Amino acid sequence: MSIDATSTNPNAEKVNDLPIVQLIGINKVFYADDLETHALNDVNLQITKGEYISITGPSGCGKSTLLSLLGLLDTATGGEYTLAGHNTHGLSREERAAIRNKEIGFVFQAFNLISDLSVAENIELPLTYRNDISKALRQSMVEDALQKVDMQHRANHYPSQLSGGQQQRVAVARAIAGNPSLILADEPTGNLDSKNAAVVMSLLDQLHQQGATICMVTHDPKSALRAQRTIEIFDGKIVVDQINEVTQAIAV
Amino acid sequence: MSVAIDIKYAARLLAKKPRFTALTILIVAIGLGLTLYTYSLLNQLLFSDIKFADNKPVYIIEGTYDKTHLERREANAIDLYNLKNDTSIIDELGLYVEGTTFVGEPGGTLRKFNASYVSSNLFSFTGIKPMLGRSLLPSDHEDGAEEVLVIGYDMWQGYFNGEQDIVGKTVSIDGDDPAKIVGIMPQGFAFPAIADMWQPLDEEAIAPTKRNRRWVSSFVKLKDSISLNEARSVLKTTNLSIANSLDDNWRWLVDDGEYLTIEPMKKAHLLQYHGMFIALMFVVILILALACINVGNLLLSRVNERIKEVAVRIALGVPQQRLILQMLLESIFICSIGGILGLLLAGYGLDITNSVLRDIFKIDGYMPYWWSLAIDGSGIALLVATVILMIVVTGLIPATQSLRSDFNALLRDGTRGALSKRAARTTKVLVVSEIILSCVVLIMASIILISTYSASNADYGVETENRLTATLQLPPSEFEIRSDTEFEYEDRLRRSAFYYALKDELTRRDNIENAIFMTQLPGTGGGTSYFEIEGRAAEVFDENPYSNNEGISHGELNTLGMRVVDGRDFNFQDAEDGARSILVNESIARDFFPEGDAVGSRVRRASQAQENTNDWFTIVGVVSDTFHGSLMDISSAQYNTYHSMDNWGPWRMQIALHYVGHEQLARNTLIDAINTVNSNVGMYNLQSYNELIKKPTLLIASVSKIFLICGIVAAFLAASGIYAVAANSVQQRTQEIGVRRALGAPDNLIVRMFIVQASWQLIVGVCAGIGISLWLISLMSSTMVFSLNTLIVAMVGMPLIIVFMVLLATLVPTKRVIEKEPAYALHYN
Ligand SMILES: Nc1ncnc2c1ncn2[C@@H]1O[C@H](COP(=O)(O)OP(=O)(O)OP(=O)(O)O)[C@@H](O)[C@H]1O
Ligand SMILES: [Mg+2]
Repeated sequence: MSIDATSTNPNAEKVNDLPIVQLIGINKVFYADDLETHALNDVNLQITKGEYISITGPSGCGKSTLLSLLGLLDTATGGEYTLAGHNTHGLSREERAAIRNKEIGFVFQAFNLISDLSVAENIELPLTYRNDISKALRQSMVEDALQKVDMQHRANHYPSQLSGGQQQRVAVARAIAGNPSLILADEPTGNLDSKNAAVVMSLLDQLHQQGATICMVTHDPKSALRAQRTIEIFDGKIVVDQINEVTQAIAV
Repeated sequence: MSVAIDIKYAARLLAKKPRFTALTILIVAIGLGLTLYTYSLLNQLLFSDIKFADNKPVYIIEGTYDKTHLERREANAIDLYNLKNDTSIIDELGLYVEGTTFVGEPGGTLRKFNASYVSSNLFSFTGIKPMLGRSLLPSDHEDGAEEVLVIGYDMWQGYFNGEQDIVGKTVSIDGDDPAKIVGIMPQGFAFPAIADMWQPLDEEAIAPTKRNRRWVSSFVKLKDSISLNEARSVLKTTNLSIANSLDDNWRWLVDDGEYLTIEPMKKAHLLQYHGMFIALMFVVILILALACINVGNLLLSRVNERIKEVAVRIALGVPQQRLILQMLLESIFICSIGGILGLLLAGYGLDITNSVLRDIFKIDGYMPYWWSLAIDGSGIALLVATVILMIVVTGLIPATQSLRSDFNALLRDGTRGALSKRAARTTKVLVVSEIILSCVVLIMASIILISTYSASNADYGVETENRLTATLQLPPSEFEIRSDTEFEYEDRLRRSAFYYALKDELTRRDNIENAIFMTQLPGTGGGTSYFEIEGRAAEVFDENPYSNNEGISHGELNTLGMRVVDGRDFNFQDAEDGARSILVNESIARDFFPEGDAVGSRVRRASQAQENTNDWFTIVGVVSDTFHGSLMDISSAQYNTYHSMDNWGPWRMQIALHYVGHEQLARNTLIDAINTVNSNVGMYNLQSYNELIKKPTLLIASVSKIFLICGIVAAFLAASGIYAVAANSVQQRTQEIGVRRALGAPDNLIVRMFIVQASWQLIVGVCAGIGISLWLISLMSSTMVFSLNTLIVAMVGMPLIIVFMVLLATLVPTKRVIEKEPAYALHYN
């Protein structure tokens, strides 16, 4: 797959220099079986629009937890989370659902496609949760997303008929179909072989080039380096937060 | 041994979840217990054949079952006689009539005994010989032959104190008829009914020369080459030819081609409950199926819980049979223990039923001798077979289900999302079957429960507290019946006079308020005939209204709390020869004489033969409503007419008396009064009014209790099963809920998704359930009548309860998942 560099606005990062995510003093404690787990400890983080961030760290350090909080799949036990200028504290369940639907796209390690729905229906699913999109528009958005991940030929297949790499491409298409402002990916290549992993990674690069804000958890240092910025978590704390100099070189 | 490891593993799994294990065992025990109980009940009361040494099934041939009164009808003797001689289906045919005989010296105390009047071949038919003396001989039937008795062992030991030289002795029966005891039957001999003694039928019943009024039942063995169905079709043609040969007076005998019928002997005794028992059988089979599905589903949800472990085992190369065996082990354990408990439950239930059966026949002793229930070899065989079936069903549901899952995907993704589509389909099928079964079971159980409950709690329109009843029988030797002679009216008056003399004697006593005589007291009887209102005859006689008709003594209605509403009670005028007065009840007056013109109108018995134009009866009074007849059917009870007993003088009457003080005292008073007036009159079935009206309902009441238990069990199984399968189907989709919520699905959409799914399952399940119920009801309706209200309550109420249960069982687990953060559902495994 090649990247059409001409379609990318070279000034994108500068234009969208607004913080889309702002975490201040975030804590997350799990209580299970009389055991308190401090999954996140005083996490402060700011993500600006158009950024491509990778999150790394040893197993159990709190990466997925952080991503769940960012994606409003879970709530923090302490601290403040501002998403696109809105404080997320005190949002109703419906409001949180609406934000997840419009502003956030998820890509999971385990693909998490719905097995009863075809590829096209899976991609269409989040769009059906919106009231303001006509069926025709939905269809064309699905077409677009399918095209971006190069899966048009499988639109009517079911997830079980696809390879892992293909499933993950569909999952990416589902995440981006609604033009979210933030894409959250938790080890998107964790279940894939290196060839398929490379395909998915370059998909993410491509999305980033087109202006998407991406937050990706990964164990693979090489993948991490494809992001502009790397955050390293250790024991629930951010211990490293740095800009990757070599990003562009690898991307091309 | 590796299997030993598996057994240990299964035991550990069960021990780890004691509540789950107890619940599944309980469900199995209830399902199996009910099955075994019902099988034993039906097999011994209904399905197994009665056979003697020659191993040929015994059938009953008699008149068509009377559906209006739910009563058996005897056949005209000549038709059975011709059937035996003119067709070639019958190997052996014996005749019998159940009756009552009083034994005792003239002037002394009379004892009532149940007598079977039989044909002499009874003893060769059964192959059982008397232990002393001889059995009946063909010559005993002849006119003018010496009166003889064959008595039973219990009567010999009880009444005759086991006297050694009893055979040959002459005793007095029915007043002062001498009869010679010629033989003693061995202990336990009770064919064709439990009886104390056997007496020969008269010649006109055995070998009638023309159509007469001799009514008999017959017990038969068919020729070896003849099947029951072939016999039925022969009877069908026989009935048609009988119908064609009848003259006008007898035309009613064959109604629409229906007359002689043949049924297996056991079934013939239970025809009125046959439909109910068949319904019981279906309900129990459905409950068993429900129990299977519930346990299967519970085990399935357990396998789903450890599906990953199963996947790992498969990855490790466990052989298929080994894996299936492992899953079956749990079922084997649960079903075997459940089976043992079920056996105990069934035994306990049968004990209770036995005591109920004994209660039913406590007073009259007419219990069919095979009505004694026990778990026999075939019951145990059925239990073992059912246990094996349950093991297979409950074990194979989860086993095949998990084998079919896509283990590769399961291991690769480590998620439940990989559970195959088949798994989801299994769950859907389970939910729908659960709904169908619950629906049918609850509908059937509630219909029969409501019907039987209202039958056993019917209001008969009479006071029953402090009322005593008995049946009186006048001895023919003293109270002759000289029909069609100049003495006829005189005889009638004499018989009536006895009853009034007894009433006077009774009311002289301090503890007796009043006494009334009726051919059949309210709560019993019910002899329906069509009546024609003068000037308003229907085109066809059986389109006229019908009523139950009783003979009654005059002036004593208040004994039972009955009232004259309009006109007058009977009085001395109605005793005149040829006086034709009649009383009708309020229902008749209201429904057929709405203008209030009942009194003074004339009615007569409607029949096909219209030539008797003089038998119009004038309505002289309207009395309060009472209910006679069958309890499952109020049709015969609704309309009642009464004739005066005064110019009729029935030779057998029921008496009801209103007493004060102790019941025992009143019993003694009645016996004493009878002995004072005429000690040769027989009295039997002495019981309180409450006992009298309870008796016909006892069997229904006890079956109703079985249905109540079935209903409770079904409701419990349905509720727990529906909850489990619905919760299971939500649980299976927990991760999907997480994904959908991550994609931004609002809560109400998720809830709606599950409600829509449940609604489809409900529509399919409830429609099928109602359809099956309707079919079952049509099966039963030939012997049972259900009120529209009952049907509506059951057909609408029960499905509503199920809809409610399913929606609740869907909403609660869905809500529970939604209440948690989406992250939880996403990582749910
Ligand atoms: N629902 C939960 N209940 C209790 N503890 C939890 C829960 N979810 C996560 N934890 C704990 O919080 C800590 C952080 O978990 P998290 O899933 O964020 O780790 P991770 O960094 O994503 O690890 P990995 O790289 O292995 O996926 C762990 O110690 C984990 O055990
Ligand atoms: Mg993780």
